[in-house]
Amino acid sequence: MAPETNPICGATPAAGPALVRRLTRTEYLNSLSELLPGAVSPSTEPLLLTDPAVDGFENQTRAIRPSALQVEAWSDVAAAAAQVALSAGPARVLGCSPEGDQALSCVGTFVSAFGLKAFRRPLTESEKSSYVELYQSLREELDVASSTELLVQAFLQSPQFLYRMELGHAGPTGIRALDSFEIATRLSYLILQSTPDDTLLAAAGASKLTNPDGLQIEIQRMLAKPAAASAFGEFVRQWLELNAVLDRGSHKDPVIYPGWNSELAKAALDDTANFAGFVFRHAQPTLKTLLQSGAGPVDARLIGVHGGVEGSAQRAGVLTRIAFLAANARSVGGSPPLRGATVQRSLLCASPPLPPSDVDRSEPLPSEGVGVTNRARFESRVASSMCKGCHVGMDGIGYGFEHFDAIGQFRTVDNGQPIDARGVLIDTGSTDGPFDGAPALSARLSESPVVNDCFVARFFQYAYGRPASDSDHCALERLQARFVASGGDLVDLIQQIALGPEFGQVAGFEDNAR
Amino acid sequence: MSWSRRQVVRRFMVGAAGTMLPIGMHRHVHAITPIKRLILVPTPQQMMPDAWLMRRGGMAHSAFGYELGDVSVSEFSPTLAPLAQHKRRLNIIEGLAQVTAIPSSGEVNAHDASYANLLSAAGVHPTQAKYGVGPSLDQLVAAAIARPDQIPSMTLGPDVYLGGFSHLGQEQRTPSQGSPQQAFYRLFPEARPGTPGANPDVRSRIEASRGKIVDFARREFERVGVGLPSEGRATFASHVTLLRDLERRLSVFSQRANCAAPAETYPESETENRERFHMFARIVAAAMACDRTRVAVIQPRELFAREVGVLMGDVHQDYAHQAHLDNHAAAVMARWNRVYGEYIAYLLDALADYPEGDGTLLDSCLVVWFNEHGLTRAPHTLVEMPVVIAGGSALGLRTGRYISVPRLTPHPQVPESRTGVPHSHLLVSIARIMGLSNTWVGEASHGLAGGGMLDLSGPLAGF
Repeated sequence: MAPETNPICGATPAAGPALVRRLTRTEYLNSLSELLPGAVSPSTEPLLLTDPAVDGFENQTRAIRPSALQVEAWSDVAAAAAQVALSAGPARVLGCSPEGDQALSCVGTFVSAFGLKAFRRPLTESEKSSYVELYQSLREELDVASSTELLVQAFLQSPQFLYRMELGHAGPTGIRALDSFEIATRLSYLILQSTPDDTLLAAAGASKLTNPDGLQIEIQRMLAKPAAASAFGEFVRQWLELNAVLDRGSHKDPVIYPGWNSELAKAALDDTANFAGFVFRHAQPTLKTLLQSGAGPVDARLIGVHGGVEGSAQRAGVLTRIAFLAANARSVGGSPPLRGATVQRSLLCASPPLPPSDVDRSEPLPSEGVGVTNRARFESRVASSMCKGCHVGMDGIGYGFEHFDAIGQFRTVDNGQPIDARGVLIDTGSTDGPFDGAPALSARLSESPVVNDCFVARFFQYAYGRPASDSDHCALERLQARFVASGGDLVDLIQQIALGPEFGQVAGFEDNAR
Repeated sequence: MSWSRRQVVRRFMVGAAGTMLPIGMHRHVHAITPIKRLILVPTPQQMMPDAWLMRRGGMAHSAFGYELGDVSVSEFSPTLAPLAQHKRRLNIIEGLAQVTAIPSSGEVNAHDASYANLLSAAGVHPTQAKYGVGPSLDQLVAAAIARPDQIPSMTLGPDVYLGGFSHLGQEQRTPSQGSPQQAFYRLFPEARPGTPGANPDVRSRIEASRGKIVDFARREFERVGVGLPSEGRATFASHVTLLRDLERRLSVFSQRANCAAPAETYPESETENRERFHMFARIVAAAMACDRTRVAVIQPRELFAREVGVLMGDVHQDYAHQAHLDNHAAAVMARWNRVYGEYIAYLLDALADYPEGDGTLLDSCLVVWFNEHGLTRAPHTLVEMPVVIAGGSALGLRTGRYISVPRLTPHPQVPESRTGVPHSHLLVSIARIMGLSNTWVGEASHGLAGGGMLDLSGPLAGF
């Protein structure tokens, strides 16, 4: 149903909750690099914790709250980054010489300029004074370089840096409209997963982001940045739960896969992120390209596994890259249930049930039958009527990947038998039906209205740091309709989220400060 | 360089003899009021009963108990044999049940449920079992016994399923520190190597001023938090508390405390599972000896096939899930359990190497080895839970016992069935030994399928 014909969706768009979102590990590192280029070193990265994933996503507000270890890690990273930044002398960071009569003026200018980037908005006079006073108090005991270093540390531990507070300003309807700087912040983390750059802050300062034309210009500019493609790759990593390649996917039978190791597992993650970036920059940056393209660069470390450098008739899209295939495999063979269930969760927004506790979940090994294929072993395992109910859906998808072994290498025979990669897609609406092989499966999935709608819902969850609620129904419906009309354009989806009426506002809340 | 536990302790004792907390002072102080410490070690999967149980004439599933003092080392079960030399400091308990992880109706993933409930007894999330419902025992105890200038608790272990067993609160897992090196530097920041080329005096002055910066940030959090929506206000209030604690810790560490760091280095790179656990054990023992923290959770990750003597396969899927169907799989899982028994023994040895009071550091520590699932060959059971408690004699705990608890508690889902004593009561006992006055831990009562509620208040009877 088109949104304008849905009577439930009136003229006033629903506003999402006003969340205080802390920066994720990725957002923090990107923001730190933007603030202090070169300050993120190989020794500072391990200090930061990984964020817990909910539904695959590591940016869900309800799951990422402060802890003693987290707070200490931020303090340690701030100290390490500030030390690196100051290693070339304070003038390099301050942009002026903090000596003599000009010292306070120099520091004041730095506090305003650096604060604007760190807080993602201009500092109030009171905030500016408090940071200058901090510097002065430090100077009573320390030299200029040390005081500047500690001043930088203070900015990096500020709530205004560590948390995104897009809270808007109360209006007559109870809905709170975001100001230009808050919109800039939302926009920057949506597209680049980083703090606003100087140009965006300047546009916000000129109030250009509260009018559609000005907003559109900045969206286009940011989408053209290389970091936008990297940020999309980061989304794909989380959406497809690809980190499993570092855990479950990194343990392969060393006799069968002697070359596989944790470094290749990491390379597989990079490879998929680069492929996602390639799709994002493609002339047709669509879900169809993401799911069907056999082109795109292959990570040099994986060429031996992937079997091709650029393009391959055997592979089509992100589901045939090494990361997905190796992550959803066991130590000896690919796992049709794992591969199918991940597709069900990530692309069909389904919730495949866990197997009952008393069933045999061991990997069916080749020793169970000479000349028996991986597929036949799995089919035999789930042949009972008790298993079939669930496995018909997940394995119907998973068998489509049988041309790929446990590390994602292409094969035409398995255990001496020809590969059978035929499957059946169900619960995808008009695209239900049989297919043969992963490229055909991916083609069907990319045409599926269920997949298209699910993709929008998952991206929406990622964009807002929370699952869609009932009040997001109209926004989702509008975005889904547009996504289909655009041919599944990924870049357009991001634009439409940013241009949507709900992007610039939040629901009202009791304001205790006023 | 890899160090044996005794080598490390010898280096620590000899090399730092002049600067570490004087042992004599420990003796004097702890003879009056020993410092209370808690170490929880939850290990994954089920426990093979034949290789663990030591019923010594006791009837299966009945209530009985006996003293371990006269049990010879050879009489210990294969899984518990590594602990035999500490038998007089042990409490071995069989038969507890995680009733709070069993809803009165409906299915629950037993892995998710145990990871959420084992250390919290707070039950299972109504919609997503993998999220916790309430704070775990380590966090409750840490909040009560940590000095403000200490790291309240350490949660250690890399890549643990779902992020581990420890919970800060509802839907909030305690972040786990996976790197021994980072854990060591956190507890002993003075051991962190300086930056090459940096002036140590300047660095020292900057380091000494970090507390001032944290204090500045804390006041900013307080100021900004006032205007936030309620959920954000709560987040900031929590952040303020954490910053205040950090500020205190920084001020103490900047004075270099009164107890030197062990003269040991830890690699930045990844290490094998066993070596990593050994490192964590040594770090925790040293930190507790120096009173840098009083609570720790060490979460070993699941073992690889080669660590339990098989060439290939995923032990969880291929053996844990097969142990009730296949004797070979059961033997592999018994080896799995035994490896963790060896881990615990290493930890106990590390603690016992530090003299304290009339005994050792182990006597004023309560080390609790929990297991994810029960004493059954079949996977995923939340009853018949095995627990080994070591140490605690200086805290007033009677030790050197094997205890089998009665199985008379109504099963939450099967009205006609009876199960063991809720493990909630053991958590209450531990909380009380640690000085808390809790009536219950987690849920105060638990619903039963046939109607009625199970009262979960009070400590474990007979413990």
